[in-house]
Amino acid sequence: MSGALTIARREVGAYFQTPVGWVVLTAFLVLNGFFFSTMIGLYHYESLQLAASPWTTQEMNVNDYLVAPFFANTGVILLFLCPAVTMRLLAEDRRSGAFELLLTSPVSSAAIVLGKYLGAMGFVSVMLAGTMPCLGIVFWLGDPDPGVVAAGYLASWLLSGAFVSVGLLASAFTRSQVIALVVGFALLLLFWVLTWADPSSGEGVGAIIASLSMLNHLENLTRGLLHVEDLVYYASFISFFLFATWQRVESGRWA
Amino acid sequence: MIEVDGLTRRYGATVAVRDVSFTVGRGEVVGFLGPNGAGKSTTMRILAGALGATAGTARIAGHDVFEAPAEVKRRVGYLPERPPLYEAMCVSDYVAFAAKLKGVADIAPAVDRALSVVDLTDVRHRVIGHLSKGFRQRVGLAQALVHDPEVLILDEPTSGLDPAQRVEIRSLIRDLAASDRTVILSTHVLAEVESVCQRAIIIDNGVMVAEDTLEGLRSATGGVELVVARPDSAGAALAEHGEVEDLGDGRFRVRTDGDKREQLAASAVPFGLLELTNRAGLEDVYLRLTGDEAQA
Repeated sequence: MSGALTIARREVGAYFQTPVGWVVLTAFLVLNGFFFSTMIGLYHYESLQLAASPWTTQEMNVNDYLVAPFFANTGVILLFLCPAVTMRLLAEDRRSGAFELLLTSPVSSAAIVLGKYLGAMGFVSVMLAGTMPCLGIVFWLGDPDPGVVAAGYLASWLLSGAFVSVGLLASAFTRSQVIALVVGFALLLLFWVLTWADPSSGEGVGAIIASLSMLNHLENLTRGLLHVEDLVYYASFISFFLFATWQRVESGRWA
Repeated sequence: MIEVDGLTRRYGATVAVRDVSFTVGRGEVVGFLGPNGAGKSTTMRILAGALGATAGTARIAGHDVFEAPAEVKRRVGYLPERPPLYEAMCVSDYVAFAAKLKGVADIAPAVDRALSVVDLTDVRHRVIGHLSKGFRQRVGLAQALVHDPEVLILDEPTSGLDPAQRVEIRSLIRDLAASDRTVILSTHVLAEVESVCQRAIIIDNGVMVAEDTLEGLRSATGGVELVVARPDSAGAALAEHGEVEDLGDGRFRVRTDGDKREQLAASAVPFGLLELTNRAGLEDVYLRLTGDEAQA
């Protein structure tokens, strides 16, 4: 485990030693801030419109109109940016030859994969922490449910964990960061839109596809509802992709 | 210290290393010689734990490379042909990272010692990507040394360096070898082997073709080569000076005790001496064993 943490610490530092990390962080915060400001504007506009109908204003609340959409938007931005976070993790090490240092150090392949994963998650956690001022504004202006906000962050973090695990696997198959980026994004997009296929797939297959879709397991979380099946889904999803990456790294020694 | 037995490594249908066996004793400095693609790097990567083997065994300090890789890796310092560097890191942070990975308990003194050995103390705060190739090679050596390994595996450590940098790195390896470390050094620069190593293992097309001390290799395959116009009984005349091998087409190789070129020339002149070449250098031995003589 100490080997994994050593690798993870270096990875987090590496994001801030190269322009990629700063560019991704800046892009994430700028996009997130933009979406948030438009949501605030929309919320304000709708509040004024609905002020004339007192019975409908009862249905408007910051949790459903601001907090939940905020985390939904964050998820979409992460979908686009997580492959950029993960593309270099293994691909760049293999291209530059630095991977030899990891392979010839007394750390297992599983520790290498876990270390890389935790490093990327550390960086994504910094990205998510950067969105806190937005929620601070919501708390300042209104009275959101802290439970919903906490669940939203948990949802974003689990979603990022799933994105990073897929991107890490893509990065394990190539020495090219661009290929890792494209393959990682394509896989993520596939899992994101999987639910589109379920109405045309018949009852049984449709149910399986629906159960695999990231979106279906995100909805409750962003509304502040913690269901065991959703948590199990993300834990299983992440474990599966980490296991596949571990197998890929290990097989590289024998291929 | 190193025992390799029947090591074989295949990449699909291609056999990179075939049934290689050798031993290296504690404190020995052994040169691993062979042309590009001979299987040197593959063998070294297997010993360093970066690669598995298709067949055979390898033990370092009594530990099986495949069954106890962590034990082996703690005892081995490995410098690949391309140093495994994170170029955005500064020198001391990188070496400290390598030390942590290798389980060094006291990081700061270990880093200081490794940087001092490879003479990098003055550039310890520089970013690796901004250093010259020679300095980067030293950083690679520092990571290989930081856990004070018993065995050093250096894959072409002077490859791509300019002559001055080569001399510096060779001198550094000589110093490292003097500190009772077992060193395996791969190269195709023969001067490196002659200046640093006590013994050489020659590998060609994945097969080990020779393993001996440098002197042993020279005497086993070296000697004086003569070409005469009329071979008739030239062999018998030359045999007075040493062991004669008839290579055909009037070409003879004579192994002698000491330098007897003058006597050999005198004996060969009556048979129409056309050429006399001293084949006692390691280069000749190498070219002969690796079959590169015709191309050379």
